[in-house]
Amino acid sequence: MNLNFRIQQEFFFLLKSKAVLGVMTLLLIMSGVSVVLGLNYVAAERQEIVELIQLDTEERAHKRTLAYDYGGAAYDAFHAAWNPPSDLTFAAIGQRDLNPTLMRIRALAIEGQIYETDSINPELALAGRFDFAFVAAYLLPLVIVFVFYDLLAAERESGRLNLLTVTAQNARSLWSIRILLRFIGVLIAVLLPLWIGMSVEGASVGLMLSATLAITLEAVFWTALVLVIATRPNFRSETIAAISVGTWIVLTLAIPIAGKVYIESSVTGIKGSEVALVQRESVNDAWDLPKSVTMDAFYASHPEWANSAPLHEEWHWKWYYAFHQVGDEMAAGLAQEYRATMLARDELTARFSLLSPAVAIQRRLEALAQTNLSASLAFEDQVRDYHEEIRRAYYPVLFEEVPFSKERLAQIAIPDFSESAGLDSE
Amino acid sequence: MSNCALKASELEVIRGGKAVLTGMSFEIKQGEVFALLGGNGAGKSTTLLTFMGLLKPTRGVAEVMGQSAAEQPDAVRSQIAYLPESAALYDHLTAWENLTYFLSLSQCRPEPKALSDALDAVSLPVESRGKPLKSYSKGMRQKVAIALALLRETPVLLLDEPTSGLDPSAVEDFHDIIERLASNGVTILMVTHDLYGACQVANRVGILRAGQLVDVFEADADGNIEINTVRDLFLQQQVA
Amino acid sequence: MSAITLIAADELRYWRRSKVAWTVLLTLLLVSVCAALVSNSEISRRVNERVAQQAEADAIFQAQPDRHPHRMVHYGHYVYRTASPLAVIDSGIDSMVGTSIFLEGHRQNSATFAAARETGLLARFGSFSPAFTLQVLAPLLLIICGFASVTREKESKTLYQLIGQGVSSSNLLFGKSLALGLVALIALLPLILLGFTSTGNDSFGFRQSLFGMAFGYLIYLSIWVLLIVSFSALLRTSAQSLSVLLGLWIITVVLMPRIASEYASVSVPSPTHVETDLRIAETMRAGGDSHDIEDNAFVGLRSLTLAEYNVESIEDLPFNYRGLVALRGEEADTEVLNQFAEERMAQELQQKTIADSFAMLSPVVAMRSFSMALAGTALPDHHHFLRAAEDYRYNMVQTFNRLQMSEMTLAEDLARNDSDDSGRRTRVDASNWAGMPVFELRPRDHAQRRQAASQPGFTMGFWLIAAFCLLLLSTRWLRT
Repeated sequence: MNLNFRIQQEFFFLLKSKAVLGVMTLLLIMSGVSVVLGLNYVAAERQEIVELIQLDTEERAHKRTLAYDYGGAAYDAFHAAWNPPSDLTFAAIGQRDLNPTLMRIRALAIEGQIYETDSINPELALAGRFDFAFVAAYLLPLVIVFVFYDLLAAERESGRLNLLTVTAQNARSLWSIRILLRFIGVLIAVLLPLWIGMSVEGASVGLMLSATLAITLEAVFWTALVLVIATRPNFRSETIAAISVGTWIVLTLAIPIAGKVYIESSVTGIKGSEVALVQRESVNDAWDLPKSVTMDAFYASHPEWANSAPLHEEWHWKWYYAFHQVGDEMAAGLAQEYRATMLARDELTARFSLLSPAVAIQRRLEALAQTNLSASLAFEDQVRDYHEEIRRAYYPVLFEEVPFSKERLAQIAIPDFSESAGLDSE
Repeated sequence: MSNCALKASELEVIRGGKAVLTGMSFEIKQGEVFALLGGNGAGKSTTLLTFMGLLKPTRGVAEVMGQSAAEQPDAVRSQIAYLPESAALYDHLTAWENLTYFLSLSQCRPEPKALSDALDAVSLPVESRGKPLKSYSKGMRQKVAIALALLRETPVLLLDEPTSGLDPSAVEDFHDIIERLASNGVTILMVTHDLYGACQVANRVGILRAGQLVDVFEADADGNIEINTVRDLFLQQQVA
Repeated sequence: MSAITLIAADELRYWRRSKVAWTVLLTLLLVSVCAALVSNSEISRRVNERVAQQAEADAIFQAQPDRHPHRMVHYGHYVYRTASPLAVIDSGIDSMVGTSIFLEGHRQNSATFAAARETGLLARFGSFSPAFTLQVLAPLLLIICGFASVTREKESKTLYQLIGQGVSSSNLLFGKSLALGLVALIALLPLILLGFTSTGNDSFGFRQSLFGMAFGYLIYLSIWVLLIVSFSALLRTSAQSLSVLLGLWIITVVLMPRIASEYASVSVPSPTHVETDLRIAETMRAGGDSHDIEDNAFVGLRSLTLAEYNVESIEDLPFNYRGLVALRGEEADTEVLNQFAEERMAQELQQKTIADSFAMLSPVVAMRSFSMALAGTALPDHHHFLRAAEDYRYNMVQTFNRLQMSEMTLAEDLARNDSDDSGRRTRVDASNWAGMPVFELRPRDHAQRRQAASQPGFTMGFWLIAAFCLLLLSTRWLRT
């Protein structure tokens, strides 16, 4: 009956608690800054993609005017491929800066092209990004610690606890509303900028709810943890603060780092550079092998061209593209192993996320934002498919040995990456 | 039922591994002012905490208006107003804000008139009422805490060292309020080591020693207690 | 014993009796030792991997059969980046940069396969190294040890007794700082021990750098000790002191490095590699295609060469003209490529300078730069590797181009694709690659590393002075 008045009074009380309010405001600002930086980042990425497509189209058109044979035209024709940011990328940029997102590929061996990442400034990358996922994983728990650690101890140490308990009749009615209001305050401070950012990006309601749920669960976990420590009788407030921050260090710094050491030493599969090396060797060895060895291998996987005119001793482009393709096929097993290594590490990371809420929330946000490993590998698959489309587009003129003409070259139509990968055009 | 408001029977309370109350028994009638005198560590505060259900007795029962404090703490606390030793209110809030906030805790929405009446009753200067408590003297804080106790309008009032640290005129004001409350039928249990104040204001004075009530002195028909006898016993206990 | 040492001894006695202090000390010692061991095994594993890969790549390269030299230009070579020996203490950017570069003609490839990508999400949580322990954890443990060093005396009123007994407030604070400083020394032990026990060839002054690092960390931890004691003296209660110090730690250690790098990357945006590639392609288009001797870009070269050798046609030249075009073409290409590469490196350094300027707001930012610079795992060291790899690439490619010039005639070269037999005539003996010197990265020497560390070093000096001033200021505060 007087519940409204009770809530109103607790709200007033919260407004008067300057330290708590200050920390919440700080969280709001940090979350806001991270969202603005993230939006800035994806806006720049989108701009880069637009520019890339523009430059790429111009460059390819220019190269085509210079072409005098099909093989050379294919050699010079790069095609842009890009991994557009999702509606939530701004919040969890994740490993996006280390993974390939923008590339230009051509009909040569894909293994030599697909690992090309953007050149980042390593010293800036080392510090880590200041994105929303960072705020959620690192700062949110600390704010929760600050807001709740002396909830009880401050009242006890100033001698108010007995009066409060007797006046409110029991501890539950005394603390429930105060805890709830502070919890909601923290949650709004961290989520409000995210919601605004997601609205700006036009994210779906479902995605918003998923992100909100993830953050809420994390906040519930930390609040419960801090309250368990804070409600221990006879703990002084500085003891509670020290234990809470100690727990934060273990869960947010120690376990992930231990996990990293464990993962790197236990999953020591193949290195990416070995894939590149094998592919390179295979392509180069082909020069010294009898052409028929390469062509037989190629025709085995591409029987539709097996009837192509036999090769003589002189140079021919179709041989050149065949040995590139055979090189890819030779390295395919290693490339799969390389992916498997990364996936195995990711799998172990998932297990570590059970031990560390910081890892868990980052993984969840990166999954929602499609900036995680599987999204990166999915992009890699799209690029491989696109690469196949590109090389197969040139095969008819090469293997049917069509005489060169600019008109015929113009007929070789290769779709845009957006069409090939089924991206929404924006 | 009897008209007994507070009743302790064979109370035994252990705190921090030490028996603080060792089988204490007494009864306080409605409208009575009972003062519990005792030295440091005699078990005075423990008695109050037990009556509020904040400490559980290992043996015996503490009853308030016929209900066990240990078993029905919520019901018991709704009957009790409590004045802690060092007027423990929020320093960053004003008198008004403190009263409103604490009353909201007991599901009570005070009228502004009631608040100002209560503050009038404790004669808190009007110009101070809108200032945060951190600018108050100890006596002024105590007045706000008493006003809170008055506003609760409970049948039982528990006071923990209510006059310690107050100047003489504030003590006089306080005693007037106690007498007024008692005449309205409020039962008051105060624990104190202020021998003279206790004898002046209480109907009965009990002396607590080593967790047991060793003696009770009753006021005569004029409401006076033989202070010298009480003092002798009290001091004797201190020496022992 | 002076008053200062008496106070320090008293503080140490208090810690000896308190559980918290023992826990902190043991944790600190344990973490420091573990970090040293783990980091040592991690770095040596990485180094061994790369050494093995480099050896494999060298073996494959040297075992190449007789070939046309230009084929070798395209065949190329792999070089692997080795880690500085001090990466064991501070691995710096090691995991963030690619480990290998493919070297070939006409192109400068970037270093690919950064360990961080292969590790995944956890790579960004930091690495368990002595540097991490000293930069991040040690200040925190010092805070937990020392936040109450003065507030405790205030709360139990012993402060007034001490001052009443004639202990000056500055002696009190110096004594407390001394005691806390001794704890800090425990964290430094592994570093110092390593410095004295490390043996072996040290021609690049790594031991000097190690002692420099130890000295830097000593200053860094001293800054924290002074800040902790100052705040404990300035604030009223232990609870206040703890929350202010923890807040300071979070802002300076957790927040500032990220804010610094975000600010730097926003204020100097870097172009994407695709954009750079396109710009390079555009610029290089003017230089012509050095595979094609008829390219208009080489008309000038042809007439100059003909004039110099006083012959009528390129067939009459005493060497293979195609080789000369390849040589001059590579020269021109490399000039363009280097120009872009230098531009990029300058830009990265500019970003680093901006990020480093946040050292005035956080001693951790200064310490990080200082430590990486001396460990030889900072940005300039990576640039040093890139330049060395580029030198190696250029020399390798030009060696092959000279072979193309001298080892065959133009006619033979032009007919190389006509038949297997004509192809064989343009092949050069395999001993030419088997004898190529292998890539060896000479690390930068101590003077260069010290040079890179000087700026953050000065900033740390500033912080030390500022922290000392704060301590002096707080003695006045304590007196009143």
